[in-house]
Amino acid sequence: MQIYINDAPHTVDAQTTFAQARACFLPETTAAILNTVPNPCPETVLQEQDRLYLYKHRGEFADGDLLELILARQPHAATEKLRAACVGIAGAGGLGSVVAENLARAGIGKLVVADCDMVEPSNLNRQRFQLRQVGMAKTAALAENLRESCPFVTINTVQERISTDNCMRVFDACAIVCECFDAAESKASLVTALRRQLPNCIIVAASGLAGCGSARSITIRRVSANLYIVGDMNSDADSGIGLFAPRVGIVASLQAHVATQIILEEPI
Amino acid sequence: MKLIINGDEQIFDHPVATIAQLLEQLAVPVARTAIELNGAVVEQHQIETTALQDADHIEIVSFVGGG
Repeated sequence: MQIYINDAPHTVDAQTTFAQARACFLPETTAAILNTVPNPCPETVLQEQDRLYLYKHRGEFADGDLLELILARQPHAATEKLRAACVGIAGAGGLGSVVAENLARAGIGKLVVADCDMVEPSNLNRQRFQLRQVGMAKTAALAENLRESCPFVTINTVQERISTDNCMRVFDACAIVCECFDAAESKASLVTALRRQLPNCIIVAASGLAGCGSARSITIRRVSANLYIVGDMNSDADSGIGLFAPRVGIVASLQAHVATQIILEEPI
Repeated sequence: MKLIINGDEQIFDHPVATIAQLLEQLAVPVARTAIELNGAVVEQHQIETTALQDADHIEIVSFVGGG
């Protein structure tokens, strides 16, 4: 029967156990993941098309092997769909930096990240940048951070202010765009422009994430076939209640979750 | 006049002629709003002139700040 070891196909006898496969392919293995589950029992009998990952904790990893091992906790079929996807992120701040990191870690193929701002000290309470990156363009800083943890993701950075005039050109290749702006007026005008100019693109927008109110008030609203809004729809940063990393992060993670569900064709 | 707003049926005593009038009655700021009327996107410059009919389905997304 055929199984996959570190993503390479191998033929093994029926009734081969995990312990036998380990002894045959990498006896010095100190860590193993079988079909997304770590530490299988030695006696586990392998099945046709199983995906087994074997490695040494302190081993030297070739770049090609790293990608497989990084994504070993995800079902392979899901990873393949994610790798084929391109998602746009409009705004690389509190929402966008978290959406980008989530999607990159999940193995998205390509991100188009657009923002015109620089990293400022007051961003660091919630935006995923480093102190040494203050003064850098947010798009470049985000790409730098993602390359360190997810080197397999293609990141197209767009250092422009996104408006109704350029959004179609910037996000043309994206099946999904996450709206991650800060100002309510910018959110409304981008969503309207994208819905009109890229009608087949699915938009995942955010509204209502300020303050430290209940997380249970945060919902996912499907406005129409190609428009989702994540947030409590109500708490407004302009009212002076502030922005906190945990609550902004919940909404951003939900945006990334909805995008992932769309790519994997899961019911939202 | 009957309108279905964000999936809920609402009855208005007086006819609501345009989307702009509806937003005014609901106290929703136009510049922060994305609108779909019977599944079609309404751009902000069309809000003043887009007429409403009885039984129209209108989706109003009223954005608040923060990101």
